[in-house]
Amino acid sequence: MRLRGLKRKVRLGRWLIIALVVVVVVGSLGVAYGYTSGTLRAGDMVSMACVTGPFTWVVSNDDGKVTNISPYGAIDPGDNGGGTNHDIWGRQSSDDPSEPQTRGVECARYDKDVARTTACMSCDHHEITVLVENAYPSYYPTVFFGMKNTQNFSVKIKSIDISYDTPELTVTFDGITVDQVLSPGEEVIGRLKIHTEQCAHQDSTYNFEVKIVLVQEGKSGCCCWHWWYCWHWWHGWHWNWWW
Amino acid sequence: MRTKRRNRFARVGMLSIALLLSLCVTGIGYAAWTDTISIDGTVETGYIGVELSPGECSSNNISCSVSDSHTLHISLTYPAGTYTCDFTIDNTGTIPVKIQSIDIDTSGVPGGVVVSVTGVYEGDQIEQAGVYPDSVEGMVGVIVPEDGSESFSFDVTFLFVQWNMYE
Repeated sequence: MRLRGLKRKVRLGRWLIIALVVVVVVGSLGVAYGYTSGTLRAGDMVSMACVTGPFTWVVSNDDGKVTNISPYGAIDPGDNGGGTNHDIWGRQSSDDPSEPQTRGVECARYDKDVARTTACMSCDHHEITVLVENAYPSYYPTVFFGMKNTQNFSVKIKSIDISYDTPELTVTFDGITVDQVLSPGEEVIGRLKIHTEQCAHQDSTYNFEVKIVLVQEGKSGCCCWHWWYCWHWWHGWHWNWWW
Repeated sequence: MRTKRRNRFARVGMLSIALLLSLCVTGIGYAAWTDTISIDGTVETGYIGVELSPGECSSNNISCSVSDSHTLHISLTYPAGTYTCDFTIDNTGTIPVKIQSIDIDTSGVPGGVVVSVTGVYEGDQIEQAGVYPDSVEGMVGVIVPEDGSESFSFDVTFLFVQWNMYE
């Protein structure tokens, strides 16, 4: 009888281990799927993923409207949709900026509305797209954006890389710095200044990219389920979805 | 003996699986605490396009043609008198332009002959296509004294610049 009981226990132990292994493997596979595909099937999960990205808002100072963001007030005064002596874009753009704008303060503008700059944010708040149209040498728009730590832990800005391999553009970035730490719920405002240089060619297209890498503050890359939890949290998913 | 071997095999197997799982979890953990966000920008530049077109001339003695996109070529066959030739400048580009300079090459013009350009002047602005006024009209005037008898020709060259680059 004792021998049978021992055998049963061993069998039970084996099955328990196998069950645990299966659970872990399935969980891991689930993470890999969610991370690489970027597509979630459940509608409610998609909506949650759309509100948890770091970017909170984006404003161009030449899209024809003064944008108020709480609690900062008017971000881009002067972007009133007019064109003093020349107005090709109508209400979609304003007199062209000729210098970088400081948030909340009007900047110098030409008396013409020739070029236009628009900026929009992706659904998951992880990407901002800026489009400058009909630019010409010395056109100088500014794009402001909010970046918020929506997590329950501090986040550090590990790196900011601006890339554009052309002398025809000068793209500068401030308001956010490397090694800056954002506390949970803290929002910072970044500023992107785009200058079209004299050597810019007519009827051409130039591209630039800014990449910002964020890491959890005070943690290094050791193995821990905690990271998995944090990763889920970052993307606004719940344990319940997996378990 | 067989049982011992099996147990060893089972232990090694379990250890391998545990190690493998640990490595997997480490990979997931690494992904967990980094995130990359980006700003992608595209800058599309406009272009300057100006067309110079000859218009009507006051006499058959004078003719006007465009020798290149920015130069008028004026010829007189039977001089003596006052002649005029009209011309038009159209901005076909997407950027407003200003006339930086109007250069009359008088090297082939006999003495006493007066050449002038009226209607358009240095600093004048021509708006981009589709915006009024995207076209301006001017006139080249030539006054030849009574004793003139030679045929001659000359060029009038315009230099256009993007409006905010005018000096």
